[in-house]
Amino acid sequence: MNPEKGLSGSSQIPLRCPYCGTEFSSHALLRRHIGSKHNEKVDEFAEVFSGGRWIELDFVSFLLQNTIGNLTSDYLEEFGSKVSCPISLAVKGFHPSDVSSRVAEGEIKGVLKSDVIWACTSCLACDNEDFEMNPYMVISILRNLSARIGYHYPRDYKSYNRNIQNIGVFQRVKECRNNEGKIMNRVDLGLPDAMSPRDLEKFREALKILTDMRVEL
Amino acid sequence: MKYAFYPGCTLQSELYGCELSIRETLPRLGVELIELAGASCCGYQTYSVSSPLIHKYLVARNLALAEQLGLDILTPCNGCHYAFNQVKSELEKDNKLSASIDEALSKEGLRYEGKAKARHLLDVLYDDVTVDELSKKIRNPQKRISLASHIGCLGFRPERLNKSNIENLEKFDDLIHVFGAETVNYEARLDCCGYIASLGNEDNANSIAEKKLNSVKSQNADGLIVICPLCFKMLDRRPLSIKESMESKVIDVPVIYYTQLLGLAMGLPANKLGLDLNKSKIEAFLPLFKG
Repeated sequence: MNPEKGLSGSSQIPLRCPYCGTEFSSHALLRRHIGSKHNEKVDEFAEVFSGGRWIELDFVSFLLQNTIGNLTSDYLEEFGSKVSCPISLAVKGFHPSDVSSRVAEGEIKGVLKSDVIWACTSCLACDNEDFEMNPYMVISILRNLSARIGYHYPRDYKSYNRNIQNIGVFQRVKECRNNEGKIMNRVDLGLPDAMSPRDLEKFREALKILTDMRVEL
Repeated sequence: MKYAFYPGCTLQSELYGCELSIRETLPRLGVELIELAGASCCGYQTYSVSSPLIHKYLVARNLALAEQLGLDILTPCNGCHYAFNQVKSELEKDNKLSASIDEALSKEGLRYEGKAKARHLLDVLYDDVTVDELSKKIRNPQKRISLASHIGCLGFRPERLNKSNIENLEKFDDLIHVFGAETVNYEARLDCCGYIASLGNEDNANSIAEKKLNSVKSQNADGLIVICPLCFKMLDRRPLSIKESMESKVIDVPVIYYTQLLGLAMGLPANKLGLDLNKSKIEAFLPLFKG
């Protein structure tokens, strides 16, 4: 690993537009170019915190179509009959097997841009040992892609990641209000200090190392 | 019995009633809780979404801190517990992954050896403290109550990771029967609380929680008892926003955290258990074990 690399780990790698091949000297210029010329929005957060590499979506779509169990109609029927999704009963328009079929049909961009993949609660009711790949795994891959590309990455997830970078935990300690309206904090309640990394600088350095590793992988 | 206590981010940042009740009851049952100083988020549903590698690092880092203390981790959070065990199992099988993570851990002078385990609060109560010992510590209730139990999805799934997870459903009910309470069956018993959906879409999450709470309500249970802090947050606090967003008339279901009721049954005062911080109406539970 090159220790001189920045957070994105890509200072040595020429930045090329994945659509037209034009080279750029910075991520910001490349992002602006893709936004204006190719009508694709890629946000800065995805670039800095999620690896800083452009993803060839068509290539990923091709791979997924060939790896998520070769989702034939028989296979999906089996999903439909064997996989119970309690969330689909409460959330209109969501069923994990529909997500899988849309990906299998090559509709990956539409799926990534919609909020359907974020309706899943990761309850794992669809985890079934009969299937090598379950619908939740497909949704996890799509969420990761969507987050990395920056198509649709819900605000709470972004702020949680930022908080981990900044304070080591996903949420700052809050004050609370009891049922008489009195506002209290951890000290008032006699609770010990909340957990947090002792040396945040070193903690962040470790996260940078991992970000660089991921880029190399 | 001594454990490194890992509360998880949500418990330590806002669910003080749950935390107080854990810290008050467990030491009285012979479970010593040692602070896991320097711990961080485990990355479940944060970095596990955007960067699985960093998520695995965060898990290994916390386990490495517990190893330094020579202790196993005790956590009440289903998400953290699942993450610890899932990643631990991956690290056991993947030497290259372990080596990458060790390289990053060395920045903080840490090393992951895989010695520390992660135990869930439910397992520690059931397997270490045991139902018999719990029974000796608690008072008889004034009347027999009926409770709907909600263990949380990752409290009994996935089977792929641990085939005996499904037994936790019965374990949790046994821990509730200790209070002289009966557990009611309800249609949405195994359904999710919806918490994770709230990160992406509040209305979806509210629909899921509403379905669950309505199902409890339909059985006329005296309340809903939960053991995962994330589920507690969703089910104790969401009814207010459910009413606002869905114009629903439902869901005055009292929601109590397991160790809060345990503390009451052990004769501890309500304020020591943070019961005044619950948002649902739990007043009916307060006199239950008095006298």
